[in-house]
Amino acid sequence: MAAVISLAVCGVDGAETVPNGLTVVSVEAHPHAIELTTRFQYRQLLLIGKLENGQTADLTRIAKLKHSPDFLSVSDAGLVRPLADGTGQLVFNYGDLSATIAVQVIGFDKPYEVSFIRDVQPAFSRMNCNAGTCHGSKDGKDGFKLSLRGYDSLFDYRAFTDDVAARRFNRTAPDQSLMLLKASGSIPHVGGIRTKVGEPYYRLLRQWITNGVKYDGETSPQVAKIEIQPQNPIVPRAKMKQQITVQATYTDGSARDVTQEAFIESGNIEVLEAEEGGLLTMLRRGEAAVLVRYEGAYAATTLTVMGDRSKFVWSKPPTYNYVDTHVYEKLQRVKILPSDLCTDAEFIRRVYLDLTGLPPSSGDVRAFLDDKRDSKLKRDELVDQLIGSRQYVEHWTNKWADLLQVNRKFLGEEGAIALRNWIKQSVASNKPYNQFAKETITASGSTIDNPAAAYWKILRDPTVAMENTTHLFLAVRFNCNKCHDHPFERWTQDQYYSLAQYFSQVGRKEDPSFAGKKIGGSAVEGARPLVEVVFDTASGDVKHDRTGLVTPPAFPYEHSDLAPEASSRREQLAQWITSTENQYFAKSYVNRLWGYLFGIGIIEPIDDIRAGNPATNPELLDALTTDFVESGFDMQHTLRMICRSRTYHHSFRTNDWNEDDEINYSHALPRRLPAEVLYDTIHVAAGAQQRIPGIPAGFRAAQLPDVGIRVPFLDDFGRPVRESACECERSSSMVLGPIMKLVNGPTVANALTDTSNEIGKLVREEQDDTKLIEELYLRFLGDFPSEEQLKLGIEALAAPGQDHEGIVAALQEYESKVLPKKQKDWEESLNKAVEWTVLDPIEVTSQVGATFQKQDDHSIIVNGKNGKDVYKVIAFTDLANITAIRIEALSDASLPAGGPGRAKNGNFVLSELSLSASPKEDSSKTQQIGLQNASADFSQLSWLVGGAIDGNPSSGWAVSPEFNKPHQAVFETATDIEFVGGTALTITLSQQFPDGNHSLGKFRISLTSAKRPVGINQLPTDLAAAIAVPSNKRSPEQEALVANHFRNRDSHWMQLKKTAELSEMEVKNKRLIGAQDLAWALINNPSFLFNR
Amino acid sequence: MTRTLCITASLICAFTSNAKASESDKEDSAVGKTSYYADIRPIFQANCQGCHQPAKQGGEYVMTNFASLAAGGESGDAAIIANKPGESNLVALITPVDGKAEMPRGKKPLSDSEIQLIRKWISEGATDDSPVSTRPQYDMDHPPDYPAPPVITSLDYSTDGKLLAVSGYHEVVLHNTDGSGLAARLVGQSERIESAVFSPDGKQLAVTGGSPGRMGELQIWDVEKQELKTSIAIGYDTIYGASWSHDGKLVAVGCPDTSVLAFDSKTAKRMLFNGAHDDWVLDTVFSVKSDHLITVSRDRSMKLIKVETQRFVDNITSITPGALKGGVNAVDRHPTKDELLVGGADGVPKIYQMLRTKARQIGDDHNLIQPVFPQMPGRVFDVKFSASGDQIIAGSSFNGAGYVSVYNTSDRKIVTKIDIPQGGIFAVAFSHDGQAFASGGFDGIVRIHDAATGVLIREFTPVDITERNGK
Repeated sequence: MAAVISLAVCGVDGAETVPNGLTVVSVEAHPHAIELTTRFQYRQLLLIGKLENGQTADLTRIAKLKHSPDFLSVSDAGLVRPLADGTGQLVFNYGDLSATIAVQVIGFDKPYEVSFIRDVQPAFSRMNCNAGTCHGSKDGKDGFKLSLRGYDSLFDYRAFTDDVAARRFNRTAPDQSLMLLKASGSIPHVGGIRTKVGEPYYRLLRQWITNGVKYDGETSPQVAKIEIQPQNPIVPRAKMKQQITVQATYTDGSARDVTQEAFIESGNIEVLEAEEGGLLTMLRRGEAAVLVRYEGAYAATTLTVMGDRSKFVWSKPPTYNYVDTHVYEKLQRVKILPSDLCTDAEFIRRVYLDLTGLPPSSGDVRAFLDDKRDSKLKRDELVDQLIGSRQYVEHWTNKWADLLQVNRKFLGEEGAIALRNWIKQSVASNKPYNQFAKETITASGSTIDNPAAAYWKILRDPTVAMENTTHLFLAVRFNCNKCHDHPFERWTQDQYYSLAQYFSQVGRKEDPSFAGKKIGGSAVEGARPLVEVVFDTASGDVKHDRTGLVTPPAFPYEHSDLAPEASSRREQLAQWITSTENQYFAKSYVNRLWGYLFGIGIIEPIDDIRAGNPATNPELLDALTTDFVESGFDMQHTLRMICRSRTYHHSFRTNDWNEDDEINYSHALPRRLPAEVLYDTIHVAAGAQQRIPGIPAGFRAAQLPDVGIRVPFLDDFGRPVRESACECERSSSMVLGPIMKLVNGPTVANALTDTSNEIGKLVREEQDDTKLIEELYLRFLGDFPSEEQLKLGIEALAAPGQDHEGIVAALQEYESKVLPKKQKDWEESLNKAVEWTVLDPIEVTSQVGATFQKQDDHSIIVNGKNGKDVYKVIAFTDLANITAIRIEALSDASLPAGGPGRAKNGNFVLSELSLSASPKEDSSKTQQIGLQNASADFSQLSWLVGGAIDGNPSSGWAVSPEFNKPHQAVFETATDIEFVGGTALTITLSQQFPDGNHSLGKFRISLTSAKRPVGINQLPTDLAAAIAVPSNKRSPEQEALVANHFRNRDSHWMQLKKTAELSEMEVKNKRLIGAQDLAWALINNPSFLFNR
Repeated sequence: MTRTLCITASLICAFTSNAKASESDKEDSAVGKTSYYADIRPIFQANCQGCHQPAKQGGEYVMTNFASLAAGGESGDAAIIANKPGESNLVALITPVDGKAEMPRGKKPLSDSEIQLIRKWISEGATDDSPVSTRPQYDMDHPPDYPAPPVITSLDYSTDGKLLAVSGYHEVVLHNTDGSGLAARLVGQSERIESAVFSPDGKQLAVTGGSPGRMGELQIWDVEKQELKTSIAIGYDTIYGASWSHDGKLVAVGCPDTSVLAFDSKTAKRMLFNGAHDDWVLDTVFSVKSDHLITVSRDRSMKLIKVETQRFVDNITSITPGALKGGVNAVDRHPTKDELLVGGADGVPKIYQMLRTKARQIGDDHNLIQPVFPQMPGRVFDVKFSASGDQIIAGSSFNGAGYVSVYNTSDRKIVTKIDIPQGGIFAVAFSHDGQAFASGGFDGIVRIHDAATGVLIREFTPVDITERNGK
């Protein structure tokens, strides 16, 4: 049945073919000859078709197997396994073409000594037994634990042969070995069937058991290297497949095919996917690394999926320096056409922001654009002028301050400032990078006198310091391998601890000049001296986590330029790291610089050099590295070289042949301005002073000594927290939250509306609208506006106050037509005596155990337990059209201080009042009745009666200091309560003042059906007097007094009035507001937010 | 010879019959009945049994034996209703809806052809055609052959000193201690023996073991008659650490499901259950008066259980996280005092007093009687007191080599020590008079040494090795 299905797939619709339009001219087999010398050996074939256009296509699964000797099995994928001894040949045909491979099998029946290291461990890894989700997890699975991905072969050997008195193998009956029963699923296994009975891995493990489960960890040759074939292939089209093979070479010189056991992963799963056995499927045009690991060895190769580029014509642009040579060679190879040069205006903004973190001034832009000399000449001059400038120093100081974690949390304010100053001096003097690193690594003395020593104050633990230092100066991540060998890299756990030894002999003691001053400290960690003296101790070692032993110091990779062993461990370390011989030191730094200037590193992330993360242009990276080393680690030299390259001058505008390229620098990539640059640029463009709280006005964000100064704007836009050396701390994403804050937040508003800023000055001094708009464009975007932009700008200047007349008319209309009538109703309600019907409660309950005594006048006195309480009052009423409820808080001699509350001073707080009602006969129709327009005869300051119906339990109505007096509060119902045949009411009085004493001591509830509005009016005497006079007999002053009082209670009038006032102001400051609006629009423009 | 061969053979048969079926499909699709054993069981094995096995019982559903496979799990619906695939709950659960099926949970649905095969099998009556004997059977009349010696996991001298019980494959072999060879082969169901311990009167032998990953078993043998008196099936993996109460009435065992059990040795009735441990329980011992049971586990602790109430009383060892490393493999009790000797992954034999005299404090280890014994290489797998209690012996295994040490109990000083480079030591025992000791482990050879001098008296392979036939 299975056979039928597989025939259908292979034979008809799913067949792999060479795409139309590609013509194979010859077929070549790799290898040409195969020799298999044990029954467990195999060989993966590659059949490579050479195409007419010079490219290649993988024919391994397409070519027909014409002839195969019977002592071999050859799978559809081209995997050759022996079946017996023999000599012969394999013949493959593709059309008329053919390829022949000589094959010899010898020693098939020879006893084979299965090696635990070379054979068994790779098989277990391939079966995923030791994967992190299976027995390789921290606690293993179901009582069986292996080391993660088999990094600890001795541990695994013990697990298989020693755990629980050797339960997992059975020498007497090998097929009954638990490890085989489980792996083959012959007995239940959560991990399923990993190998079937009789398959190669099953046979291999069984043979190992039969041979006596021997361990050869000390004697077995190790994998010295692995090699991938083919190297850096270019696959003509997406959807095609490419087989790769992996060959391992051992320390004894032997080699074998390990394609089946190797772990093969795609570096970019959008471009290609990899499956077990080394078959890669191309998904789309692009480049992707393929990382292969096998038994602690790593290799990578880059696949390029070319796609159909038949109409592509290369035209070589001029090259300015070696940077362009390498970039264009790559572009030509992958058939990408670079963009044209950017404009002068684009260039000046780009290079200013990149090198100084500030935009060019409008004067700078004008002068640069006016300069009619050769564009390249003036651009080079500008680069020279900016490199080393004052602003350049601040900007690059800030970058290093991030990486060295200048942070008062670790150093205190003094320490942070000192360290930043040290960095600044280093940048200003263009200190060679190797010297800068060496001074940091070997720094001794007080962290104030020699601020570089702060590095060792921040990084206190040897392993943490080691991880940070390798990450910072080598861009190599030594962290996963603390607990086990690195899962994706060649670094081992042993190397981790050997390298950590160089960090273990650093002492710290309090600087006597700052005796007693402390920093930090928490529940689990004591405070540390504020300033410390760092010194070499010449003793102290780190213990290996696995063995518990002290391993001698050793470097994870070697070179010849080492310090004498007599020098301190830090000196040896510094020499090893900063030497020209160190393969990562200079390379990682030029890659960083490149990444800063282009937005994406040649290795990306820029601080993550790994075998599996190869450079997109290794020749370019090598050339930059060599140049940097030869210049004496001169950072300015490298920046100059990059900024003078034609590549740096590419426009961000793409063409048909480079629009999908993001990694080859064929066009500029727009980069969002970093947080500090964005902040400073907004202020510089607006000509407004930065006002960062806690530091002098005018201090730029780039000049902040450390992150201890909180600026929400900077945090929103991804300023690093400076708690590690990782470049990933800085975010340059564009997410909605920060953008909305940018649009609406105080930073932009303050900068633009600052009365002393230059926008205001410009508006006053420049009367010509065109010139004003030009100036704004130059300031904010670094370029003149287009005609269209100019037109829109002029319209923007005229826009403010345009609907002023309409707004004023609306206000007048309301004042003359609506307001007088409303006022009349109000005055009438004042004069009317409200008739209240006192409620006779049927039931009153308390939550905490207060007791209630009903009085003859239907008031209630509260006794018993006092606390944060909710009184629930249930009553019936026959009153129709209920429009308001009144709560009387009554005094009584029995209450503290005479009441009306139960607090010691007689106060109470009515936190929330709520009301529900239903027809008397049908409680199922209960509805919540909203309350509104609260008024009271008296409210305590900041405990206004409105607080009792605002839904907020922490506000409420109280009456201090008016104690020992009755008070009343009236609340209108949102709608009239009108049930036929009587109403049942539930009134809830919630009293939540935190001390639990402020509850009502005596109260009474009444209802009314008086005409709205219903309220208690506490009018000032003069107002009351004025209202008492009939409106037609009032003096003009009295009339105005009453009208004003009423208007100010009317929210609609207030709103209209405010709009009219704003509009009035806009009319007066028309141009200023227009200019501010334009500036605001420009800030929210990609041309401003991005450096492009 | 082996089960594998049987499986392979039947797979070949199945393949052949399938091939036939597909040939004759053209004529009559009803021809070629689906085989449970050859067609269906492998699908369940590959996709289902990992979670639906006795040791896991996902959804209270066990698919490893035919009766429970058909019955179904917690839903109460029958998983398989013969002839009615449409009404069988199992079919409903594995049939994908919009590309997703309820089962196998979190994995790709079974393929269409697999589901069709299962439906076909059910519609054909869902019968179990498993061969009667799908695994090798051994019994007293058909003892196993040994192409290679099995690892020795247990050694025990009889009380009178005449016999030495040694673990084998599917059996315990009793050797005459006078060197005259094999006295008896006690062959049973359990393929792996974890412990074999004589009763205090020497008349009975308690054996724990089972088949790894499948079943556990306690056997009680009449030594003289060489007769299996009792066999109790316990759980789904081998069980450990048999021990006898002083009067021979109770036998206690430790289980990989973390439970501790004790049985009446005559009636096989379960007398004690305790679940205080967190990991496999590897050894047990009774107190002098047998009023307490002491247990040790991979969870690193030694626990005290009151026999009468079956209740957990106390952690005898410290249980502070980080205070202990690795599991505890073995425990023995002083012949006359309630003092407990333990050995485990830290390689350090220690003696604890059973009852605490000081209230527990976090982080303490008050019951430990100082000093501890010197650390041995690797993990200690077995510890024993001598009959007088004056000496102790411990055996360990480290990176493929074995170590045995004899110490004075009083001053913890070493009396003699033996290195066995051929392989780790998993079992040790003093002879009844304390003059000699036996050790065994990885290499399957029993070695008898003089306890005072460490001189090798005798070594032998406890089973007869036959030529391995075939590959």
